[in-house]
Amino acid sequence: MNDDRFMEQAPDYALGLLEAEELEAFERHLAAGCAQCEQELASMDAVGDALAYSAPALAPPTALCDRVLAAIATDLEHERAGADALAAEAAAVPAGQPLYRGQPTATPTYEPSPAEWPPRVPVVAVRSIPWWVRVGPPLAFAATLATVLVGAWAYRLDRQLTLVRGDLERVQSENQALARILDVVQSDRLRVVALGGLEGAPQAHGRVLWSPEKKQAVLYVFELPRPPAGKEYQLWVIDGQTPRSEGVFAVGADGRATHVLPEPPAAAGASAFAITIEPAGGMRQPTGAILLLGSEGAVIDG
Amino acid sequence: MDLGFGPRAAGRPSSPRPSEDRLQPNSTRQLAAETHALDRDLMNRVRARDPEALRALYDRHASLVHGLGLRVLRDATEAEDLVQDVFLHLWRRAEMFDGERGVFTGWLVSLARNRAIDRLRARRTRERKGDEFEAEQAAPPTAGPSDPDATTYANELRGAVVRALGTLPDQQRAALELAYFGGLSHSEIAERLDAPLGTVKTRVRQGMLRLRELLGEFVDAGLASGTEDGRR
Repeated sequence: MNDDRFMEQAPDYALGLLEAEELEAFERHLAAGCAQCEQELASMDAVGDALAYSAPALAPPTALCDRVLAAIATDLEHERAGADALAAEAAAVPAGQPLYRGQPTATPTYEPSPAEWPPRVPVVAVRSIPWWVRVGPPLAFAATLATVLVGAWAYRLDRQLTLVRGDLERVQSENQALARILDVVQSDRLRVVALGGLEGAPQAHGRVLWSPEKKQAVLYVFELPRPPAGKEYQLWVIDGQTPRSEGVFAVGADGRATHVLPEPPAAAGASAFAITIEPAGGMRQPTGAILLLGSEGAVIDG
Repeated sequence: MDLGFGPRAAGRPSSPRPSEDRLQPNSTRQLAAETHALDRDLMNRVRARDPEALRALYDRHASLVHGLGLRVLRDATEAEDLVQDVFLHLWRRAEMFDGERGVFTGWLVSLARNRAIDRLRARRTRERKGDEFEAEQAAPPTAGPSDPDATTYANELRGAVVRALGTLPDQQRAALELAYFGGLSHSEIAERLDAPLGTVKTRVRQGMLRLRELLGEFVDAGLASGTEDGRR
């Protein structure tokens, strides 16, 4: 084993630059327990992470924080309400992997502008009245009171709106996923690729329903164990030699998963699909063992 | 079937590298330790479904993720979507973070960068054209105003990284930036920089090694979680 070569490759590995055989060899070497290379890689990972800090930091708009908090508030409500069917379905979809990827962004364009509330009219209007000296103070008081009330009312409305918008986004993304699944199922020529469990998950099985014509595909997996902490399942499509990521996905408590492929292969040529277990968030190239694999496609004509 | 892809660096070095020859090891390590410990506590609270803890992590790190997203994606809407993605993932899959295995910011940055590059690649595929990512070759990165919301440690690290990158030869820096922010392969970088493949490989490696040298104390701090409990 030539350690020098692997030591030299640690920076490339940290940046995700190793490909195919080199990557495989490097992984094998690490798996064999080379402490020196592991240490080298750990420090190169830290250098890679540090590079992120060279991008100028910029606080995102405040509305974004509200959106995130509204979404987690909705999550909490759902969690507290118990695992109803909707929540179970949502959990089967990879969190943070927007289903509308490849579609125009679903970010709502309407943002309530708190600056417009409370309305400016009353106080100014009162002051423009000529006999303001006598009537002004009580009117101004009433106007101020009204302003405060309107402000509080607007605040409550805004909060409710944020919650509703969070719900709406969830429903929209779920709807889009369902529409894409329906699109596949209703396709004229449907390609079905059966996936079988390999050594790591022999009981697991699944299928990819794929419509090359509509460029839509959906993965169903059954009897797949929940991944260990810090790991996620990742789907790969293999066109020729190179595996390409089709995103990470979550598995429900019942061992089932549904995953809409973000970038389904367009060509109707023979493709294989593979599922590996990877560090959370997914990897650019597969690093874990293949748990499910399928390449024999059956074409169903409508 | 195992194609031989083992888990990525499953174990980490159990002891930090010697740092007695480094400048101010104590202050930076101390600051890093406090920062990483606080992040880890916040993540524990997120795991226990405490929204305030998520809010705190957001306040501490959203501008880092947003800045990274903007640099990779060059699109305000996509960068905001990325921030939302990352923090919702953090909330929904908090158990994915293992505080014993590494520092929170390392995990966060890898997650954000992977997702950003996924988005960039999806966009490239969608648009069927070469990417529009350009390394800022001509000008070394300049330190923007330090971010008042970010942690002190993050601001120190930011300054150090910008200074370190500034000392690299332009071509080395450009290669690193294309790899890290552009998600390009060696050969794509070679094409972009109009340089031989071997030269590009050397530039990337030398650049990374030089950065490690220049960032020594920060690299050590990122390695050992800034605490003595290591990552076993």
